[in-house]
Amino acid sequence: MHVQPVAAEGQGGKQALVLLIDTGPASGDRAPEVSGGDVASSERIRQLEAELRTTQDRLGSSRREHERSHQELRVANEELQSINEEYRSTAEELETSKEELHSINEELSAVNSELKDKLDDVASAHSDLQNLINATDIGTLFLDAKLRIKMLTPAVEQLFSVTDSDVGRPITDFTHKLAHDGMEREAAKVLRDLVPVESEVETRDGRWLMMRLRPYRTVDDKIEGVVVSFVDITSRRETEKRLRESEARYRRLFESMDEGYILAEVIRDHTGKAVDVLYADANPAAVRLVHIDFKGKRLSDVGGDFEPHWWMLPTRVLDSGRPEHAELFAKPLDRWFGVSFSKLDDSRVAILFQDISERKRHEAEREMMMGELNHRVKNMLAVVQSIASQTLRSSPDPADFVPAFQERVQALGQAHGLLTKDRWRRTDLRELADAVLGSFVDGQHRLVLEGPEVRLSPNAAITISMALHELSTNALNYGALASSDGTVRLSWELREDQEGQRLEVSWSEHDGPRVEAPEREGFGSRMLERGIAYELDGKVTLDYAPTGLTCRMSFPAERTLSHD
Amino acid sequence: MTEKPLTILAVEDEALIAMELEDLLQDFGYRVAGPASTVSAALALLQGCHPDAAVVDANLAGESAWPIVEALEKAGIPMVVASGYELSELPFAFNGPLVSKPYRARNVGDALSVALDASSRDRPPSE
Repeated sequence: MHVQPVAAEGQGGKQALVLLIDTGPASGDRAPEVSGGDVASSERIRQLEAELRTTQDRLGSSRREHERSHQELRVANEELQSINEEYRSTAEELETSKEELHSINEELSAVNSELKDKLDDVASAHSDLQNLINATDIGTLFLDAKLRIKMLTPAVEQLFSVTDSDVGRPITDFTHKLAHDGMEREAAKVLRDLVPVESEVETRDGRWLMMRLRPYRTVDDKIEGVVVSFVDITSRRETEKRLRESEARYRRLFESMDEGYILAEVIRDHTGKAVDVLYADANPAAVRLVHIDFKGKRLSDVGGDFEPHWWMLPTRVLDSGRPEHAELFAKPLDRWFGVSFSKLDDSRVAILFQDISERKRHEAEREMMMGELNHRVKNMLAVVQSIASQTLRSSPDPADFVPAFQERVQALGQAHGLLTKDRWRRTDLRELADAVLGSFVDGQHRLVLEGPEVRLSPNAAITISMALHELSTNALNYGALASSDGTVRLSWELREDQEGQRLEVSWSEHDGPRVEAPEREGFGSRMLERGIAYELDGKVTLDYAPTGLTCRMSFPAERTLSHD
Repeated sequence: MTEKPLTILAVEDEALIAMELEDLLQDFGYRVAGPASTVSAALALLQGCHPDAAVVDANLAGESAWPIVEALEKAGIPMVVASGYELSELPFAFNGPLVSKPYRARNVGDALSVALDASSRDRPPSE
């Protein structure tokens, strides 16, 4: 056993190195035998000392090794220390990174939720779009640049016999129901020119569609095909057609009707007071009736002093909205018009009118005629009354009154009959003589009428007819017509003298009984002498020659002849 | 008749009526001036005489008797207008006595008396 103190570096504690060394098997008793033998003992000591030197050598190398190892341990310890420091700094870096990751994660989750919202929006937009497509009657077809179907609305399905499953196939593969074959060409044109094309096309079943082709533009303004839309315009076209027909019908009526039709615009000043009328439009009849081309002109520009009612009435109709009819006179045209005004809109009035000048003239004439007739009838009654009282005065025997009166009234009636035949304008003298004398003379040979055609005025006709009647009555009672052989000759001629033209009428009786002048003036001669002189300014000479009565009547032509 | 008969101007275009008018005026005891059948004849007659009254037909063969009425009014001669027209239809304004045709002798006589009486009241008494 070997004990040795050890100075430990850095440690204050006292240490001792204890070495237990094997020195071979012990002989006999191990108890100190040194004392027993000297030879044996010195051997023994040499042995021990050799062992001690070996052990000391070993101990020395072991100590060196220990020191070297100690050195290495110190180096390792230092390295460990630096590693430890590195580790600590790495741990701090890791902590920072972890925090960053955390914030990134939060951002990501926010972005994610935004994305989700957007996805929801897109989904709802898509569903809106889908519903819109399903709900719309407008057939829409989305084609790509090679005219392959990209999308379609249900309204197109029937037209092209396509379904959603045909998406991706070229539209040209499908037969369509259009009577129009240029769709592909037009689509190509739209793709080339980028200008929309619009046309009205008919389907094979007689419907009309408005076909519009326009380029499909993406949001970033790229052209990716064509959008074709179809709108059913059958009813619109039918309505248009009906409208056109109706318009044509009314246009024809407007152009051909006899009534004038004017569209008039009321012109107002700044206070709103109507001051003029603009004739915006007029049909041909209107221009014809007015004889002035007033179309597009104002009343004040038409000229002439038109009455205020021509602009006041349209204004009143415009203000009240109630149509009005009036018979209006236009002094510059000297014509009457029957005019209807009706409001069209806030500033325009429709004026429908007719020229009623003729009717107005007839009305005035009729009114005058009624008054005239009344006057004439009363006058005629006065004449009849006069005939009655004159006949009575000249009839010594009341029994003679009735036939004489009747005959005279009848003669008056005949003369009026002839007058009425010629509308009270003129009567032919020959016709008149025939009518008056015809009832007295039987047989043509007893009556000779000679003279040119003479047209008598109404007054002359009545007076001459009454005169002839009196002459005939006298001839029948006392003259040529009283005998069977007597004849009457009535001749007349127109003659000029210094006072002008005169009508000379001569009545002469022949071959009758012998004539004697009457003792007193009867109605007949009074009527002849007074009446003719009086009314026609004529002269009468009665010659009671025994061979036959001659009566010469001379009238100024001016009062006797008709001037119509 | 002791006193001098009144003279009446007769204006009437229809001969037969004029004859009748003449007769009936004579029956009433008047003296007849005329009868005249036209405006010019009546005015010519008025130049040469001053009748006491006149019976005038309003319409003389289509011509208005207004100039005669005017001349008579100016001369202060009372008159009766005889006409087939109603008063309102007369071709001139007149508010004296009107006899409408056909008339009765008595109507003419009465109207003449009215006209003469009215005129004599207006005139200052001559005696």
